[in-house]
Amino acid sequence: MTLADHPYRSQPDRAFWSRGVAKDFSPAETYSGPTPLLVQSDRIMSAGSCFASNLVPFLERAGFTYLRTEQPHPYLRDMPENLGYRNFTAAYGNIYTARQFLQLIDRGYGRFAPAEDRWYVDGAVVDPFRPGLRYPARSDAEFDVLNAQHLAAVRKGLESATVLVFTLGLTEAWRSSIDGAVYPACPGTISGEFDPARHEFHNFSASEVTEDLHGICDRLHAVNPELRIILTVSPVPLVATATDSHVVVATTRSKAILRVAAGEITDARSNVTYFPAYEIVTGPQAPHDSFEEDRREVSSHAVETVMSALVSQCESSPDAFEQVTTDETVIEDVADDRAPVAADAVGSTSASLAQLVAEAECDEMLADNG
Amino acid sequence: MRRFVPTLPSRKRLAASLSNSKKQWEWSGAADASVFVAGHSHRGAYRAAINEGLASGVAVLLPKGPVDPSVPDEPDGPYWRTACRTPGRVLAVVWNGNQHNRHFMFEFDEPLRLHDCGEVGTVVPASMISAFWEPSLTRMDVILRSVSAEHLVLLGTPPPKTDEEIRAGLRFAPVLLQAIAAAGESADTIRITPAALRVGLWKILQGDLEARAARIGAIFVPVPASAQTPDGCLKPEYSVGDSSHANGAFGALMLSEIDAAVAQVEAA
Repeated sequence: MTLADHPYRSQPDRAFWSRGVAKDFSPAETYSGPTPLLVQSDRIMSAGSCFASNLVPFLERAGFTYLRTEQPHPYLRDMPENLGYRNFTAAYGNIYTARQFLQLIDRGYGRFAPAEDRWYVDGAVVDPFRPGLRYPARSDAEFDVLNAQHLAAVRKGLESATVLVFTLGLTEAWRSSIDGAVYPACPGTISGEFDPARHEFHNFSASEVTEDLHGICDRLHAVNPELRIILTVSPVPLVATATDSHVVVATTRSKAILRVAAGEITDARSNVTYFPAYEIVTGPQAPHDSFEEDRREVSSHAVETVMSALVSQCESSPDAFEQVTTDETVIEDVADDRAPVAADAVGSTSASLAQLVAEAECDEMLADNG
Repeated sequence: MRRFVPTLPSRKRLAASLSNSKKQWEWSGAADASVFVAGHSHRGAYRAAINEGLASGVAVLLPKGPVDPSVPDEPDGPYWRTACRTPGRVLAVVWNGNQHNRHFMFEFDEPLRLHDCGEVGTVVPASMISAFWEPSLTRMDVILRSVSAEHLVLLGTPPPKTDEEIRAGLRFAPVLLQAIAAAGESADTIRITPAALRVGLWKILQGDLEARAARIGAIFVPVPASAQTPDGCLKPEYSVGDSSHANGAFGALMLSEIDAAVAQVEAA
């Protein structure tokens, strides 16, 4: 190698700030993993923080199959739900930490049974791992059946997906001091009651997150060897920190840890790739309007930019995505916690007939004044 | 099963609402009644109890004057005002009570079940079922806010009927047979939701009525086990000839339950 011939000479434009960022920045070029990221025949499962659900309408409108293994009965699918429990493959809601996802998998396969697996709140039996569910069980027996149904749906998703998109959201977590069960939210915030004797704060380190991600990969490989995993880091800052740090400092630390862990696992595992949604939204090149006025909520414009970059790396026609991004309803769907309303409920014939019988007979009784 | 969209009932409902705007109501039964029964279609069992001489000291709020059988007398604002302003020992209210039949009498293509009823299909939380028909109960709070009677009673409603009785009821209703035929079925072939599930749904409704009664300060009078078969359906001897309503014997039974419940409250 001569003085004029060095490794940077063969690097593409995107490797240089002056050519890859200062001018002609292309969000799509931030991805450097294997392509296509998704193929049309994929069955996609997602989990993690809200980014993992934001991508669903974009993928579906681009023609991809998003796997749904836990949906309400079709006749009841217009019933509202809380907190995005219908936005994922199964009704696990947002999963902010790698440890919580690891434990969900272990619960699904009977390897982990949390000591504190239910809370009794105002006559309801609440799932600590899904504390915001709108329709909680009313008894232990009902809780057990509903929980078993949920975990079966989780297993079905994990075993039948070809791709898992997992978005790392937080390192700060609240867990059981008895057995380390990680909750999605601090007990007492959404539901339940905080008890300092049973609940403790934990801020996961980079090595812990990396180890948990390896654990997730190992377990998924055992049940679904062909599964590909796409990791992302959520660009959404912490809503609050339980540390002594300023929330901005805590956010930076948390996201840095997650980004390091994602990088390490991607380097170590051939079936894992990283998509830089975090960098597209938060990098120095990102436009000011990537966040809303509170500088926390990611703007619809930024979400669209990320999704456009992601879909451009997938096996889909540009025309299809053109339709996706120009459809105004997309953004509404992203912000809507409810599942899309079905145009034609399954079993509507049975319901129509039942309604007719009830109305005809009630009318007859009411008219019978004898 | 072919798709079927009922249109006839909605026309009838429109007619009913127009008719009710001029409707007058009166108490029918004992002149010296101490128990007044008002409400939706299941009030028919109490009216039958009076007509069949199975009950005394009871009156039921019914339309005044000649009745057009093609126009149902759905309780309206004036109806409930009359009911609520009536002084007396007991106002017993029958509020809807057919929600489980209206939505779930016939089996869906994709079955559903409750945690303790049914073996296949999606397990639906009881709290979701309650929320599903909650709108049918919400008006009760407002309407029954101010009652003149000494005691306000909210009545349990008849349990679901057996498959055989439902089919028999359908066979005697030409309009229903016609609708079922339009869906490619007959009274003999149409798939009725398993009785255990219908009973489970009815129990949820009874629980919702009981909770609502507690909220509005009413005495809830449940349907006694003596009116039910071992699997929870309405005993045939309490059934009138359709697929959802009860007869005068049931009305008489419930009236005795009302007396017992009110006496217990008065003694406490």
